[in-house]
Amino acid sequence: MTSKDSGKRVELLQGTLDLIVLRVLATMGPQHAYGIASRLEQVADDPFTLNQGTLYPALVRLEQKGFIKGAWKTTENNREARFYTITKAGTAALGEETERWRRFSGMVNKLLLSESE
Amino acid sequence: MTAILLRVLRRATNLFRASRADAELERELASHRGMMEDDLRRRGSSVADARRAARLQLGDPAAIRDRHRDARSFAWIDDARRDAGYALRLLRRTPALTATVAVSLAIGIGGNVAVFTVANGLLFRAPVGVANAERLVDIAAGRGGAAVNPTSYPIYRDVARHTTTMTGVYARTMFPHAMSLTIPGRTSTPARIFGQTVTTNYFSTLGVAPAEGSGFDLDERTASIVVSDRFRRAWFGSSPAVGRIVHLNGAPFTIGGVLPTRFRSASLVEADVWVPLLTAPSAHLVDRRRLEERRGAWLLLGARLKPGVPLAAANAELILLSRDLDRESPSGAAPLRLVAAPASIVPGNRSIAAVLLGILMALMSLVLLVACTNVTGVLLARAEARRHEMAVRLSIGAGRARLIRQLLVETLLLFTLGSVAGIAVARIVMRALAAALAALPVPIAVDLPLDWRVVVFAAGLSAIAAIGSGLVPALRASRAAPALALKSESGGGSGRARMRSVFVAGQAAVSVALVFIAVTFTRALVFAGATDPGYDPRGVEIVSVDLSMGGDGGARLPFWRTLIERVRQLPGVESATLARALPGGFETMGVGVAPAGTPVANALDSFEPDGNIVTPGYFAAMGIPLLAGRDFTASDVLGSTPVAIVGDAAARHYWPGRSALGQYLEHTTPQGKQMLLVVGVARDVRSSTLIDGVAQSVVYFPLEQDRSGLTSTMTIVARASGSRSLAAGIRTTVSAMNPNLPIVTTETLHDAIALGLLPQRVVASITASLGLACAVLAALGIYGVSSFAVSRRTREFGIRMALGASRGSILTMVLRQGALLAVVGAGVGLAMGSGATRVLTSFLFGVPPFDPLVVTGTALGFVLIGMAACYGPARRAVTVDPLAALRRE
Repeated sequence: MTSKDSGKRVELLQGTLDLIVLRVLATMGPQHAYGIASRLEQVADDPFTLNQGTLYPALVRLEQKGFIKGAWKTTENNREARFYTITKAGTAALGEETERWRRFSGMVNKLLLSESE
Repeated sequence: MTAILLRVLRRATNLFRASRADAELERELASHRGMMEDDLRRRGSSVADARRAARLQLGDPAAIRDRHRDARSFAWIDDARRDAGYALRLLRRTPALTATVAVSLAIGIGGNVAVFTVANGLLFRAPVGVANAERLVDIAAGRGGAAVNPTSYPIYRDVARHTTTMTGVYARTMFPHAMSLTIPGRTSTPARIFGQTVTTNYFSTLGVAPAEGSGFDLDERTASIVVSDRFRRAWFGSSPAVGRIVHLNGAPFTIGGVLPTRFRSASLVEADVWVPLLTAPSAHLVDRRRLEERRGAWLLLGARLKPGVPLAAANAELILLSRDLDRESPSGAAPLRLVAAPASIVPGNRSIAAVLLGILMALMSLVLLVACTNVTGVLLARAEARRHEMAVRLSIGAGRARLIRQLLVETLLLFTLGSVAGIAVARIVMRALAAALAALPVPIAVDLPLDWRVVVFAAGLSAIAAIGSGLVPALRASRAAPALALKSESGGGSGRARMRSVFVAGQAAVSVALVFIAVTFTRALVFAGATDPGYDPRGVEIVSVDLSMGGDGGARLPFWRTLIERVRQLPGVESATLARALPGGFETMGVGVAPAGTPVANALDSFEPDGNIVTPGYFAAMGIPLLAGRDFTASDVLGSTPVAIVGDAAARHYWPGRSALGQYLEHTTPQGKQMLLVVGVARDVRSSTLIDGVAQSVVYFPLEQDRSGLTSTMTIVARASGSRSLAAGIRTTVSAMNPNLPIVTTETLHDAIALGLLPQRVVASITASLGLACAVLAALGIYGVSSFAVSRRTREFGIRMALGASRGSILTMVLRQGALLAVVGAGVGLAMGSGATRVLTSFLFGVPPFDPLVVTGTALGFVLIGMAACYGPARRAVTVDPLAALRRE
């Protein structure tokens, strides 16, 4: 990892990280923070990297809203880790937020395309 | 909504578990790092590389922790906690200031809380154990203004029969009466207890269910009583009481129920037993004839409003009902006017209590105001001293709002200290009051708990006081323009100086006004009974005997005649006589008298003298001078001309400009009217009741000619010739005549008066000590602020001296300025005080004109304090070398 790479780190829009975390948990079931981070790296295109530490404020926010629940468990490699599970409220919020994001990103896309013409 | 609450709760708990949450995060990050390293190593990295890469990938742990903290708790609570910590350190560093402020506030807030506690107990709190007390009403016969008078049994029956707006109409005597108790097999001598006479639906209307037994029998004529839990414990211990037979004034009653522990009384006086009204005559509690008398005035009615019916509707109905009742059976007296009012433990006296408490509360608020100005003064002074600190904080980027908040938190902390101390002070006052109440001859049932109302009141009061006295200093301190304040700490603009002047003058004004009012109030209270009561209580012993308790209804007169004869024979007795009522006591006796020939329309005029029934020798024994005519004699008996002696004020009211001797009074008694010949005029005695008017005139009737039937209780008044106590001898004489007769009270007249004046004494001593505390507080405050103001001018004095001013001229200037402020303040205070006193005197009769010596002395004192406060620091300032003074800041 070089300084050149870290310069390319994507600054996520405020709030989108929460949505992404919820999506990951909904798709993959209970995950620890590292698991979520790995999944993000895996899904993202090439130079996308995430400062993995930023996951933690997002996780605590989601936990306080009651969207996810955390519990200490052991991984298959026999390490203890905090596993997060999406709650019912979290699933509902995910649906709403996804819809909102679709509308928002659609609008932004349209706007950007029409302006560049 | 619940989700938000839950989040707030979680965040709040996180706040207090800050360290635990941090540790948890640490553990999670470590596991994260470990897993990442595992993966990297699996992909072929060296241990060291993997560790470094993992650390980079994860980011700075300290930054994560900070952002984690921000996310999980409220930033502002954290800030407030930091502010409070800083403020605490600051307060600890200035213990003298903290103590001054805390003591000022403890007195100010404590006094208010104490008064409020009493007001709460008397006026706001529903009696414990009563269901839906806000729907209960007292019904009484109003006359004139808002006065509440008791009414009669026939009227009770009519109201109960006709009302459509109220249910469960009951009747009760105004207060419980003393009665004798004997329990077969348990008591050897009769005990004195208090019993209230009520109709049998009393408890069902109040919504109080007996804890044991079924309560009153439905048949109102069954001799079945209800007793308090305290009574059961005192007389039966743990054995069952229901079904047991007890004797009240010699008549047998069965205990039908025991009330729950928490119910004590729905009125001010605590009762032990409740007796059905219709059975009361058998125990000589009520004269049977009274039950038939429509014009009687001895019962207070009460009821519960029907659901949905407002009080106004009940009153509208009562007005119509009163008119109908008057038409059906005209009573001949003033028109009946029934009034319903929210049930109170002090029916009829609610407004009097409210006025007295209001006055006390107003005084206490002034004390608090002085305490607050003290605190403001101290805070202002400190704020000036901290301008440098504030300027530094402003210049390195602190927001002004943030600084104000810091200062307000400091003030709030001071006031929290103050209110906690204040509640402690209030508890001490309450304990003293409880001790004073316990010394009264009747058991008082008033709960004075520290309930939520009191706590909310104390908290609200200190919050208001804190913001009121902390905001101005905070605003001023934070307004420091950094550049200016950092450059020079001295002086300050003319605005600051003006502020200080207004402040010193204002404080002097409030203090002088308060001392003025306190002095007036104290003098009024002391005047009400202490100075010259109009009789000589020294060496007089009194023994009250209640014949109704002995179960001996008839043959009273011969008994009294024999008793007083025997008492006169006792060694050491100089003179002895009997009286129905004593001056300065709690009890007064109403009389229906008017000068003969008064038109019926004027029969009920507002002048109502008290009545008293006495035997010959009363005036000599009490030391009451007869101004004209003669005392009663042994020849004033039934059959001879009915006579009376009137008080001076009554004589002058009835026959202005004429001699009362030889005039006739028309006296209305249960047996009809009779004419009384006035044979003497006695000097007025002073009653101890403050509100009623100070000197209530009395009309005296001779016992031998009594037709009122109010002679079941009489008091032996004996003047001792030596210092020997007569009580024991009199007791023996009474028991020798009737061993079943409990003696109600024995004491010296002096003590009895003191007891009657107790409430006033308590209030007077509170007011006096408050005035004193206030004067001291204000003096401290004025001294502090003025001396601080002067010491800030050291540099100015240096310049003046460098320019040639002499030390003397500077001192004179400072003293003149100080005196001017104090004089202005004291003048304003005197004006405020006399205005307030005028309002006060409209509530209190017979308040003497203010004492010019005390008042001007107080004003002068404050002027001197103001000057002294300037002198010390000014002297110190001018003795400093001008050059040093210039260089100092």
